[in-house]
Amino acid sequence: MKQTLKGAVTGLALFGASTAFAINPGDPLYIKSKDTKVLKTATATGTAVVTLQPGTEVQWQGVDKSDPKFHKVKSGAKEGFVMMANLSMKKPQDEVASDGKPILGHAVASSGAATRALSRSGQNYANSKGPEAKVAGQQVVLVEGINFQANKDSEPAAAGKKKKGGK
Amino acid sequence: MNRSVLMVVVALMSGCATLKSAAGGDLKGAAANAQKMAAAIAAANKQGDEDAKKCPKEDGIIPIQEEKEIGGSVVVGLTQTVKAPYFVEGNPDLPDISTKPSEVQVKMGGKNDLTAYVAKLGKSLASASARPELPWVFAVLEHPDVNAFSAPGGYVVVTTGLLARVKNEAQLAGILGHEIGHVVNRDTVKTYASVKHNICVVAMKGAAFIKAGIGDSAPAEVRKYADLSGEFDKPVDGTANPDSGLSKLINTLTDGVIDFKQKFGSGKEAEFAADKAALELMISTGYEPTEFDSFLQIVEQSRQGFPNHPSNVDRLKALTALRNGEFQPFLAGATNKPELPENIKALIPALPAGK
Repeated sequence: MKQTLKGAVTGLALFGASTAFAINPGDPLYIKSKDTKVLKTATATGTAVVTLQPGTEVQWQGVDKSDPKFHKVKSGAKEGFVMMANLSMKKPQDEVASDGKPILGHAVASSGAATRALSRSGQNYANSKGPEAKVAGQQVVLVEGINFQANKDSEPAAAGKKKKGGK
Repeated sequence: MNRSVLMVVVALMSGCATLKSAAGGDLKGAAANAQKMAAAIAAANKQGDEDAKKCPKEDGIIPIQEEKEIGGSVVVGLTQTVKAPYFVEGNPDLPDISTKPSEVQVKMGGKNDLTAYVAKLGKSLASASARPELPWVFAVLEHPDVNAFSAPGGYVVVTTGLLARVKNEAQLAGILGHEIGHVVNRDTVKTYASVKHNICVVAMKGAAFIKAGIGDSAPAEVRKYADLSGEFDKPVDGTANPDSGLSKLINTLTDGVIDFKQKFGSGKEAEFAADKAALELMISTGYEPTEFDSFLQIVEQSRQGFPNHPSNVDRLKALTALRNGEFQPFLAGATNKPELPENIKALIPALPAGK
């Protein structure tokens, strides 16, 4: 696919410097981290006014002047401060199951779709395209193993359960 | 191949049979044959069009399980397009292809630490994306060119040539963020849906010709696709046996996706959207967002890109506009640009002379 970080063609006037939209008070933002605390004060140790889950819409009120890493948001009747790292301008996407029904983001981990491993189709493809493709497939499996080792502590719940059960 | 091209090819080939008859002197018979053939072609075309209505839609939604399945085959296919030894790795014995990641015997230390470093950084960025629950996998491909690519389901690959040119971790975060953006925006999945639709249309047409007894008139390529006509409504959920028709279909679709991506990339809008995703992820995770611009400026402009990709000049303009506009209130605190760790730098192969 060679998505090089270079391009060759003249571009889009759409993105001229004057056309970007700034966020305004009242505009929606979305919670993207699990158990995000909306804090009474703009300090990491502040008391939680409410705890929100990924995908929850909040209304942006502005940046805290004393610590600009914190943003004032409104969730329903409650107001408080949230760190930027827990906010997204885009709603986390739901996935779609084979039956066409949505799987909520946090349920993907237990659906099997989040289990890391070279897919059956990937294995079939590697096995059917000659020895070089097979080696490429084996290397993907090795890389999956390295990723597993590197991020062991943050594996999806489903992977953890399987490991505990020894299956 | 579009339908009108297919019809012309089939019509021309059947016309050859008619001409043969005429050459033999039986003009009446040839005329009758031509009429018969024309009627058979018209009926087969009609039937093919009718059957093609059942094809998956060109802009259809692809379920997560199917995305993950196709992601596995696409990443193998894309990797194979680069010469071995493919991924940087220090294990002389490669695992069996069906080994679960938790069971792979990984010898850490050495080159595998490079992949592990990229995997940790990538995972932290992907966790802040709009698809945090995907089974993200980050890999380092041993190749001197500056390149990065992604595959559906959460695969992100960067080359050692790219790593050798990266000046700090923020720049790498920008590159990984860009590729994460392509996965989050399902850019290759959209290509897959389109390829699946188009091949299905040709397959249905070919199958209709074969059913009408005029299949020999169709080109071999069309007949090949016709064999797959019964597979498109089957779920791609990881149950296909290696020799099954469904497996053949998935391989065909994978080749189609890779071919398309190698020729055309993702397109201008997709590249701008991936840049925007990169910027947002950098800011969210505290990296200095202008470092992504710095990397774009580092990489040489001379290398040929895709004809439908935006220029770096336009990308830099767009990134600046985002920072001055939409992202401006969120920039405070996004100032980190740590050096790559010394032990990681030592693992990146030096660039060949002249690169």
